Amino acid sequence: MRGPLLFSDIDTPGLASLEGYRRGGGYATLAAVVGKKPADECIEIVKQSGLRGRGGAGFPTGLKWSFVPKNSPRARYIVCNADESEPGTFKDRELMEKNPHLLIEGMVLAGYAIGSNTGYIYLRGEFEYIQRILDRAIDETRAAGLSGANVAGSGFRFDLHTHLGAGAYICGEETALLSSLEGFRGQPRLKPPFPAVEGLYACPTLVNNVETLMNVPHILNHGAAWFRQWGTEKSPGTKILSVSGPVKRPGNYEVPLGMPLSQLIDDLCGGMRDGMKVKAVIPGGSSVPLLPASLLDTGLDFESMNAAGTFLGSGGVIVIDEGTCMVDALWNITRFYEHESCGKCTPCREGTYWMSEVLRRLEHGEGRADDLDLLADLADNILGKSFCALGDAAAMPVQGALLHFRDEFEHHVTHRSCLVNRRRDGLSVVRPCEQAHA
Amino acid sequence: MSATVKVTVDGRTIEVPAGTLITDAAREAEVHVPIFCAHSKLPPLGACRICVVEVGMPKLGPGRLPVTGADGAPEIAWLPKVQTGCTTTVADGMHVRTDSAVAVKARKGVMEFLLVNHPLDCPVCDEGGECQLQDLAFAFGADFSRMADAKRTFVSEDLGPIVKKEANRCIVCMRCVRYCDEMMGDDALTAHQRGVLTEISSFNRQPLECEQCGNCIEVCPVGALTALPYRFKARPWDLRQHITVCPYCPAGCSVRLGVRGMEILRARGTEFRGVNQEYLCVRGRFGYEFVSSPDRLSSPLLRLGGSLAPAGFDEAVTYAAARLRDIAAAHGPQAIAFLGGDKLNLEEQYLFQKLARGVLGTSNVDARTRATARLPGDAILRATGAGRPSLTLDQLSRAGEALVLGDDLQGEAPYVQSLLILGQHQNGLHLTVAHPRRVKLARSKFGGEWLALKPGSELTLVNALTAASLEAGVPAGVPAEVGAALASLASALGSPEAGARETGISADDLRRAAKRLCAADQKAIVFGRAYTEHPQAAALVQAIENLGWASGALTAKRASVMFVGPQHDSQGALDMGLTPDRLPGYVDPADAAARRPFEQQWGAALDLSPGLSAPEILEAAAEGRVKALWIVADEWVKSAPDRARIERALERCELVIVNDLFLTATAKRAHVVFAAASFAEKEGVAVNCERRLQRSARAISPRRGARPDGEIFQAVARGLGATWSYRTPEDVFREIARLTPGYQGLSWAQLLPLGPQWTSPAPLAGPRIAPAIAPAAAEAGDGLWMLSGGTLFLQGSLSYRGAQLPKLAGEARARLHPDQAQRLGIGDGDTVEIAGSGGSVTLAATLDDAVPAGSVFVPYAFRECDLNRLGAPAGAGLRVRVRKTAAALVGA
Amino acid sequence: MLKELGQGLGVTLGNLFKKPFTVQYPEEKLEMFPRFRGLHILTRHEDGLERCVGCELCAVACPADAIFVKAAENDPQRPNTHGERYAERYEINMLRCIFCGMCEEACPEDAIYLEKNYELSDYDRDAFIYTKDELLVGPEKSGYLPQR
Repeated sequence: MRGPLLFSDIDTPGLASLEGYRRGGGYATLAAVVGKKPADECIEIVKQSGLRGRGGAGFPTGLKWSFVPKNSPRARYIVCNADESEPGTFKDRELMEKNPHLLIEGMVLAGYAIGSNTGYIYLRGEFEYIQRILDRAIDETRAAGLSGANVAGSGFRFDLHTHLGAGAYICGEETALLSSLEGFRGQPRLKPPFPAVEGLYACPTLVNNVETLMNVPHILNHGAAWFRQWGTEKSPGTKILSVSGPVKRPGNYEVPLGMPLSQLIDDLCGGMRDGMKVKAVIPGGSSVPLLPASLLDTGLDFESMNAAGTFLGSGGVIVIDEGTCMVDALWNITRFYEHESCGKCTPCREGTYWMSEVLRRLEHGEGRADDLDLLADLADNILGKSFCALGDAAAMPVQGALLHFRDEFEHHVTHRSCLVNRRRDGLSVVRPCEQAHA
Repeated sequence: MSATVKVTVDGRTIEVPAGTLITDAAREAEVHVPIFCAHSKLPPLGACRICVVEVGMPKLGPGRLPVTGADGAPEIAWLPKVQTGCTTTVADGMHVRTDSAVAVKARKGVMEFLLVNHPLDCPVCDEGGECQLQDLAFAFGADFSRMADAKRTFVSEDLGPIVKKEANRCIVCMRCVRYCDEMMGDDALTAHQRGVLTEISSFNRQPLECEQCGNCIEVCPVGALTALPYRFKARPWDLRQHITVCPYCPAGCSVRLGVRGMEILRARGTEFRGVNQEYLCVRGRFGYEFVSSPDRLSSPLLRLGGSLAPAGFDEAVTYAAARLRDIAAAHGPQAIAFLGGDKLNLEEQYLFQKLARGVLGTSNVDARTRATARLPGDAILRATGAGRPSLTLDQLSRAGEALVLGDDLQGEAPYVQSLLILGQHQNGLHLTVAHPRRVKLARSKFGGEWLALKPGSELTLVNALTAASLEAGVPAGVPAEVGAALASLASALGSPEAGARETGISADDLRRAAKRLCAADQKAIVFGRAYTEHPQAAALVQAIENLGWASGALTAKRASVMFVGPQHDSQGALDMGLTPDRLPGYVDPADAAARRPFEQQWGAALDLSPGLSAPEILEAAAEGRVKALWIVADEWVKSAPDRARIERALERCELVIVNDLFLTATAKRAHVVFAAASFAEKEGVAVNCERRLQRSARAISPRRGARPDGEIFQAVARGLGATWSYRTPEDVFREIARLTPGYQGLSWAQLLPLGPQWTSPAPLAGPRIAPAIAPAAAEAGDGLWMLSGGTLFLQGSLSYRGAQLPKLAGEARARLHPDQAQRLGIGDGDTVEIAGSGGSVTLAATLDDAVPAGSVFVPYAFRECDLNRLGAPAGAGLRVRVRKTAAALVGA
Repeated sequence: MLKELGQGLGVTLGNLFKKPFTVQYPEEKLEMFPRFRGLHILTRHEDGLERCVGCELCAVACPADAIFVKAAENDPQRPNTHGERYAERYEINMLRCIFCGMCEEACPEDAIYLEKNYELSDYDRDAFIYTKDELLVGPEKSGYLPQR
């Protein structure tokens, strides 16, 4: 048993098949709820449970469900955001790969709760093999009458489709995801109207993360109070964290929300590899500001992370050791955002390009005296001015790195060499990927 | 909730309608908030972020009462993030700051970002000097650049013959892409790649397949898209700009001509003025080129001893006047006929018919030279509401349901088509298009209904729609006599099923179309030359009037029927009495009281008998009853319905006077040719399809030897002994405004550039509901239906005198349905001969499944193909035989 | 009184033996000061291509409205300038020109300079409209820029 809730049976052989899933009590909740429990009650239970979106923003799920208008003349859709493109995050992949039926059950239940008859699972382009797993699982449920025209004999219709994106990071943003799903360029749209009111094909649409939806069958099965046994008052439940970096045992860990970060790294992951020391941790995927080693006791829940000046985000815990050059790391992150900026809004499109150019210079020992102030100002000019959160995501790591590790940057400028990585004295770094980047 | 809200922008409190965007509210408060991606015709995008402002609401304390600070002013809770003004709507009590440190820094930051990859090539950029980015960089940007790294670069592309793309300058505001989609319905542009590599181009990076309107260039705020024909011709500050009215279609778009020296270098929209604002179609944008054609006439011509020779203006006037006087004396004034004039300005139209009626005493006046049957002079007036307040173009795009009858608006009035597309995209407008061909508006992507009627069943269709409308009863709010007439009409019309058989459209479809039309709050019926130049024109226009009343498009108070005439001032020609049976203002000459002001002003007793209409004049001239013709601004040899007859008519006439810019085929057969000034060379008023009067400015002085038509008329009138003394078009307009019902109270000063629509306090004609029955005429015969119509790139004899339009139009093609072509053994590109009762034309064929089987489509605007050689239409249209031929193409 | 007269004559006498300032124009010509503004020249790049791109900033800056420029697009095979655009016609009306040097200030390409030639006289008014041929320096002066 790797975790208390979603990971309790994740490694059970045969779980991915309908038979195996049912053996562990799968679809019992669906049978007990669909057509038997009023939809409003389902929403109420999810509200009571305090479940918060696991995709990154942490918005209360029950509240989101209740925003979908009940009496709209148009169709309602439910879309599962399985784009999982945040660097450092790989939880949904394992969940869907090993337990696809839990997602399907969650989607049918969510569809039932908001009165939707069609669901889409939007997968990132690289998840083609997961699409095959999910398609097979969907076929199984359709054959077994658990999805399709008549779910579990209740008369409720729910059709489920998978859709493969074309590999853009921005399509993890819900409105860009919907644009992409509609066949348009994957670019975010204006909010409001929010998807709950005007989403897919201008119809009310619920967009939830894989992990969020997978929590739903458990909550509806055991009740809100049961779910609250884990986690904190404001962040109940568990969270799967994807730990990467030079720890002894990187991987996915399901922990109750609120567990201190140091416990995750030291106990669950077995501490650092080869006697390395933690320099900083990016706790929630590359989009969030990093935490210096001094703040490792921060609890892994939405509130504590905010208080520490960062976010729990998608749960991609990236551990950075002392031998890592922050200039190099930041350049790497910024290049990612430059590459993934959709180009819709000016600050993100031009700002990420510019920041990446400045960081390239710094990394190559061509920095100028005013570059650090310039970088800080550019990040400030992007933050809060971009169309969607991608611009913020690109600006925050820059601000965080400059705040905590300014000396490393200054060293690059003044000494044209690296403070932490002696091997890179003189900085004549030429990378193979650079050709492609230019 | 109140309809207006109070909002404070930079300390100025104003009241604006709820739902106003902050950028619009700021404009109201006279605070400049810059924009790039926002555009009045496009939905908010919020992409460029230049319009960021600080937004706050009054802080609320206990009991939701505003908290006041130490100085007594309410404290404002400012939002932590700046907001984009172009996407945020105002709320009551909202405060907006554009001048705070936060807002200024944010805006400067965005400005700096916009310039990161923008090249510093303003000196060689055609947009330089009128570039919004340049202006805003001056206004809001820094005076130096912190960007010292390499800029990303693209290779420039020519996107077809019109659009030059320099992607380095692009700021990805997406205006071009969205305008092309929302307004033109062409979806020709898209963005490639993403992020900083985003590049606008056509989908396949091939030349744009679109209407070539160039509006993408117009809406581009920078120099990323520029016009190839205008490339490096001038800088904006070299140009004098004059606002004229486009001489091509009845939409009446304002065209801003840019003149350097005596040369017109470009045409643009007017940004904030005119019915069209920035919009121009391809004809409006490039159609001015004929003005500077080297082929223009440079002096009047007189036929002396068999051939035309240059003559002085006075000489030509004296000769024309003397000959007219002689013919009137010898054969009576009814032997003289005046034709054409719907391309003239309103004042000239008035003078033209005044010369005919008041000076010479003939009522043989008709501007509708293409007509194939007589249409009463007030028929269109009554069908469009008899002077009641009528639909504006803006209301047209906001209609719930628009019924387009018979016309391919892409060719006849591209701006009207674009407004309907815009309405469909943004205002929930539903289109019903009745046309045998699948014209652009009938394409499924506009979500409308295509009533694909069989050719020749136009009248049946309109009657069937009327019958279907009346199945739900007579609409409420019609005058009592109309209600009674409609009730009896309903019984005469029979059921839609009968119409369904003849038109090939199911009765259900007809009923649904009628129901949609009747149910819509704001509705519009649009018709044009396809019906007024139809052999059954009189019945068709009557049927449209019936349908208007039956569907509620005509009411006692308002009219929602729009006539899209064949020329830019066709409406003015009708208003000014260029019809044989109506004086200006649709005054019936038989009405002594109404006629008196004209007799007093003109100092002449008017001929009361209705004159001959254009087709009748043609017949009379061919038979020798009409001896003298004055043809103004009309290539009648090509536009009259029957080529053989018009040739005979011109041959038999003792005197043919032609006013034209060029030595046209008609002018070549004339005895006197007056060199006329073009639209850009004279001032005057045109009346567009919404009955709006607009003054056109004189952009350049007339070419040496050419005179405005009005001056020519006045000179001849004086030669005939009249005492006209108009110094300017304004003098004429004053006389028109005094005499003409509907125009009373209009003043010259209010007409530039966007005048009012004329309306009449009392309807100028009573409603007439009558069964619309086609005159029992000869059958059309058999063979394929000859479908003709306008085409986008060419209209009229002036359009092919420039460089761009003929190039874009290519050569004339006969379009056939692939099945039909296969039956006839014709392949794509084969040369075919089309033979009618009067003769034949030969041209290349193109397979086109938008054309119904059983018919052949040839646009009429091409110079090399004179469709009137096929003979006059009979019955409900023209039938022709098409066969493949090996013969080489035969010119006109 | 005599003293003052002597002083005055002394000055005269002194000047009698100095080198005269007057030069025998046109046989002799004065060297103009470095920042003297005389007849304009249009300069060339080192490779012989024209510097002027026909942007007309000189024309719009000219307070006397003496400059007329008409631009055109380069033939890529035989370019006149480095970019796409060059001045097809470049004319200065020397009767209007006030030699203020604003054109030189405005030029973004270092293409126009007011040189030291002050001999601007002719018998015909038309001759004072200097065309591009007259203004453009010869290929032998490629790369030449006056020192300021």
